[in-house]
Amino acid sequence: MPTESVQTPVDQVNPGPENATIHISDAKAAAMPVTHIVQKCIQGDRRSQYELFQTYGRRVHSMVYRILGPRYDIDDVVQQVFIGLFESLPKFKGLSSLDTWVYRLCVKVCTDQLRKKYRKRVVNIVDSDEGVDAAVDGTTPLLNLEQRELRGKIYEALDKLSAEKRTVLVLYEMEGKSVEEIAALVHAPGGTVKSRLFHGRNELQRHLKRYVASQ
Amino acid sequence: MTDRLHNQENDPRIRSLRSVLRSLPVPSVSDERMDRIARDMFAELDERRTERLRKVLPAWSFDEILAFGRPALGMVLSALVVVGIGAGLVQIARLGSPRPLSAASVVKAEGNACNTTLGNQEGAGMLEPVGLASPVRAGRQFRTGDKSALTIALEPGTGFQMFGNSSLNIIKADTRAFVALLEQGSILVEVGKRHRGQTFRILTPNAVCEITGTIFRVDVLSQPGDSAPVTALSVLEGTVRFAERGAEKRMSLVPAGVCSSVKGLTMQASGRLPENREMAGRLQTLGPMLQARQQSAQAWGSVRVISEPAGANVFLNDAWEGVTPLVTVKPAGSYRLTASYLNYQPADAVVDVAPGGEASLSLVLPELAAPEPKAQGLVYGKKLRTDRRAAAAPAAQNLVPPERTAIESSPEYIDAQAKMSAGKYADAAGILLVLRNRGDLTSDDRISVLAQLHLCFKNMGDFRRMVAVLEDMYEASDSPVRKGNILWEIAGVKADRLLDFAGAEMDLVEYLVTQPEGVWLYEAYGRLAEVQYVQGKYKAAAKTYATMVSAFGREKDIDRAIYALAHVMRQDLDDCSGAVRWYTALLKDHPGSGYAEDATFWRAECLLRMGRIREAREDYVNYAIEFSSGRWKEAVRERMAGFGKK
Repeated sequence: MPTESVQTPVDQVNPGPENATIHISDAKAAAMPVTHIVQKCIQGDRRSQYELFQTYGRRVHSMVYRILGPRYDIDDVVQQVFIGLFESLPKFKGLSSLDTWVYRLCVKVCTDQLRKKYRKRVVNIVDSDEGVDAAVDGTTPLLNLEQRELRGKIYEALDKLSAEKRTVLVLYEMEGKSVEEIAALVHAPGGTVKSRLFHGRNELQRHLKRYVASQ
Repeated sequence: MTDRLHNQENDPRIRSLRSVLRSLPVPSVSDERMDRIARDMFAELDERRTERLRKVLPAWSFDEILAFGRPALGMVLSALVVVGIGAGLVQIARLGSPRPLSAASVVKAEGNACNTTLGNQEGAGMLEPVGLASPVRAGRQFRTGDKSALTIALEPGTGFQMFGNSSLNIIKADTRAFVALLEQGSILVEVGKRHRGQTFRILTPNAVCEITGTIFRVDVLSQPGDSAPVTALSVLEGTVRFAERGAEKRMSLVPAGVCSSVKGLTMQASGRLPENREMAGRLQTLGPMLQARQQSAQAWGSVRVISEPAGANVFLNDAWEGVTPLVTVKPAGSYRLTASYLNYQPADAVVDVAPGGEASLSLVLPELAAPEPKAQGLVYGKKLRTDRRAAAAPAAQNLVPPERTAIESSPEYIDAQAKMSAGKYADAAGILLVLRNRGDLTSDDRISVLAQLHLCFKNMGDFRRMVAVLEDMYEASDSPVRKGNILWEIAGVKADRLLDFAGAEMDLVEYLVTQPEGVWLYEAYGRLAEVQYVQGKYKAAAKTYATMVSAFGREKDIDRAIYALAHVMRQDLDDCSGAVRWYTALLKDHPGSGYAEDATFWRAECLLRMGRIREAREDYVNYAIEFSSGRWKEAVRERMAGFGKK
């Protein structure tokens, strides 16, 4: 039978270098060996695919939101990440953890979105998270508005950064990843990550100095 | 680089930056939303798989199948059967594959209408004015502004007209299915007979309308922050299947002459459709336009009219056509065109429409002399009501004359009230509309009828007509108190329901000027400031809040206005010293206020920004003591750590 030769953007993602452990951190999914789930997903088993989606869906959603901000169609990007994941799983050899594989894909799809800039933006009359999921608990509408404004200013400032610097900055400062983890995710040496982080912080601080108190 | 990065991490500015970045909340995602993403994703995966199969199947040859080795006869036959079925399916799919609607086009655009591409396609997000050549296909969004309309023909006898302030996303538009999402506003739809398997669906944020062949209207009514919009369906001809979003399997049938609605995700009781002259008028033009335009496109031409001032009414052969700027298609021929605008001299012209051609007309209407001011002036400065709080009843109750009027004893009026009590507002509105037009009504009778009518429209969710009725009441009323209450009601509906903030601002200013002792004075100041803020008029909003605070310093919830004033000064006017002054006033005069926590933190931030470190530190310490589990505790901890290092 002829092999399928449809190329997707994620086909270029190479497996990670060193970490040979395979794990899914979610306890429910951990009951089943990851290799088994991956194998089932490759065979097109919808239940396993859904299980994988449930394991990583919210974390990927959160990461995409943090990298891209509220003005992108987050749901659409999450969908792209998982379509990419299921199509690239045949290339997953277990040389890196499945977590790393998923997040690397996520970072790649987000970076592509950022590079496309205005072409990829959706016309949102309201932020993509507004109305559906109230983020601020127990606040007044006024404070909610304040939060939204601050968020808007931060993402406006992030928009002025290059896609690479923005990704590194968000992963380090907002996602709490270490330099080494980021290096593995963005496929760049640690020194490059540090350099992007250093310059990214300086640029962002310059753009946001009105909102960030100085001493 | 490691050293520089290390030094940078100890920089207090970078610490502040980190604190701000980490304070950003990530919205929680509901299970329903995740399921929707999963559903869409699996649908996309299925589609891709089918696409691949289509590419792969025709490439299979008999030799290739046999090349698997020397299969048993049964296996070969099975393979042949599978290939045959597959090829047959592909063929069926190809024969029946949907084609784009080649004849779909814009046939009329009046006022401000624009369109854009949705999603990830080229040119997404760029708004363009709608023209007759604007493409009508899946992935396009059409929007209309105030007093605008847009007519689109899809197939012979099928199309729709969008009313003002509407937004429609075309999700699918081919020969098999037409699906569109009406995000807001109103749409009048006429659908020709559908063939078997053909679907026509109008979605709204909370409801689904599916049609087999009919004429109907859909309105989406929502207000900011309202997570439960109302979708109202009015069926004029045929039958429409109607359901809440997500309940498509148990759709109910709505017959002609009936209106039904979904509020949030709950189906409401249906009622009889009231007589609607405006809709009937629109139908008269929409139907023939959809039929004739598509059947004899060659015999039609277009007319483009612009005018100074814009918004003039255009009549072709004495029939109202729309408002300028206007572009429309008409059967070839000669037309007498009249453009008119209030307080401007009308302009006349003869337009010749050639088949396939465009007649373009630019008109300048000369202004008439300014009209004399109205003789019946409003009572300025007169003390209308001394005890403001005595009248705490809703404004709507103060709109009717206090005495019982003659009309209230009439059988029609009593009948209308009975229908209103039974929740049949559309029926009651029909009766009251007839009563309103009677020539023998006194001023009080007329106001009584209009007051009931406005309640009917309010309960039906038709806020535009509600405002129109209230404006009639305002004109008909002599009592300054009643006028004030009506004005307050109009401003509220404009701000909350129609999102007409500029209009609401004008009404509120008029209320404050004409009703210096009005019942709703305090609330009017607050609402005016909010309306100004929403429009980006920060200075005006701050000024209004300041006036409100000085005039109503003793009101128990004035702390909200003080906090809002400080917020505007800090956030939008960059006036830290002003903000500190108001935060201080709030904390001093209202120590138990619910805004005290935020005021303490933001005052400290302002002081820090102004370089008043010692005072800022005191505020941070106060915050840490008084609000140890407050929402800004992390940020305060960061700031305190910064002070410690210094």
